[in-house]
Amino acid sequence: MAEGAGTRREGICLPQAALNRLMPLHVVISAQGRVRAAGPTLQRLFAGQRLVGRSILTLFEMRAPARIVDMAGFAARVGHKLNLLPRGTAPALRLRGLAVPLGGAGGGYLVDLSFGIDCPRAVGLLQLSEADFAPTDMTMEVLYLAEANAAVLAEMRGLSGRLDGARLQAEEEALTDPLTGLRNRRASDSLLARLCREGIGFALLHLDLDYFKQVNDRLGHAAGDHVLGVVAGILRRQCRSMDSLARVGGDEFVLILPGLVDELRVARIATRIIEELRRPIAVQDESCRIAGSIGYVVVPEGAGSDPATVLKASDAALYAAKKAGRSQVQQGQARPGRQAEVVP
Amino acid sequence: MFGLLLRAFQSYVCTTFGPRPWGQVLTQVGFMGEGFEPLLPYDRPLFDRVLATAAEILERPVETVLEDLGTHIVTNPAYPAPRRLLRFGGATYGDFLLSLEELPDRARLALPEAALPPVMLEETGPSQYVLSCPLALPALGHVLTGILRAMADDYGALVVIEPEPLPDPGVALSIRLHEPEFAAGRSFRLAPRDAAHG
Repeated sequence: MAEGAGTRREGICLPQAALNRLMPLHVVISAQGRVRAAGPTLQRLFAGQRLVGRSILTLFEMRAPARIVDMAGFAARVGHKLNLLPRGTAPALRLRGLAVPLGGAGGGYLVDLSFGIDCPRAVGLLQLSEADFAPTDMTMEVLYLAEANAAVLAEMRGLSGRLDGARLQAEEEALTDPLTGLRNRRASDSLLARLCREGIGFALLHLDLDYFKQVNDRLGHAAGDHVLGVVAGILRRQCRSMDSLARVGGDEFVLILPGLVDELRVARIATRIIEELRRPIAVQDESCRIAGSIGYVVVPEGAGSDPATVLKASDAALYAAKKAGRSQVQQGQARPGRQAEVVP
Repeated sequence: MFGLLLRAFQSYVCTTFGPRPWGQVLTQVGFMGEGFEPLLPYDRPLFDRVLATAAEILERPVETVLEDLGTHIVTNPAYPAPRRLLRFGGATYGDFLLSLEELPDRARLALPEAALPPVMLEETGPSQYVLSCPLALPALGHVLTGILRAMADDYGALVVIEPEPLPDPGVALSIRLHEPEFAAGRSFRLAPRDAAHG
């Protein structure tokens, strides 16, 4: 600051409008602390008040960090960070600032201010817009980040809430049968309910194994488990990946084939499954034979069936297939409001 | 990325066409869950399947569905965050366009795993721009068109947006800004509505 006599002072001269754009939150004061000019955003902080001519000591309570009570104290803190609390404004906002001395004959100071970490609150309280900040100011980024983080956090909260609900539900009703990797009854029921509700056409095949109990009794449960795995493999080969294959009881299976309403095709699939099941299965150096019976129902699109009727019809068809002898396929009919019936 | 897209898509289909067609989409795609989670990772084949199935069920071209999705992302009153975050791009539609180059970085700042492809804006003449994302999926071009058109309405600007032929895969749009202040546009306050007294 102390420059030798005769040294030419380097400096720039800015019109007030340029200063307002560069530092909308500035104040120019005289050496005595009287306001000579105030930036437009600072003017918004003291809305309705005339600032020019007032002392900066009456506008702000200043600390740096000790309280500044006079202009001598202020001059001593020039070039250092200041903490400022505006006096007489309703909401208590905290600002920080930096004062630099002005060149020229009159002296005085240029004080640039910022809302610092308080900027989101200031923007809300003073209804500030982008135009109240210089484009180089990071305030917009801070606001953006605060809002983006709030949005992400809200999603996180939503996600953990939904996950927690889903976890509880999953613990109660796991959707797969651990032995075969097929779905279980709950998964099958839930899909059936959805298809009925949405009026999507589908075929439902109810398969019951024959002679399975004998395998269990003769060769033990491990062999029985192996046979169930082989059956699951057969079902997977005969159905599409989008079909729902479920083991719903010890040796009972429900297959739901969404979108498949061609009765001939469904009958062919059922027959192929029955044929495959008749092939001998190798278990522990032995070969065992099982068979299966299938009752099936084809529900056309928009049929308005309810799950109970469909299941009852497939049950009745399965019963008829069993009665007709092993390795039989039987079609049933599920019409809303009617008793389930078996097609002769 | 696909989580955000799928979730937005779910919201679009459910709000515009109702939960029934959306249920049909999930069933046909073979998705067992109740819906998609914006912050969970899903893969692109799943997104492609959902999109193709929905276009079929809604009996609309895929391009139309995607552009409507873009519009929905900006205009859905139940989820104002995307529109607000985009409006932080600038006070005018021109400034907003300029800010799009920063968009991938802004997204990453909020969500480090958000990998938006790089965006480049070139001014090719007075009020005439070409926006290009060489690494973006072509599907995103239609979503982007919907977003840019909806944002133009939001700013009250009159723009013409057309796909720009590209020698390589990726997305490029030509944007002609006819009238930056054609209509009143929607008001935008920096402070979110509920923070005024916070």
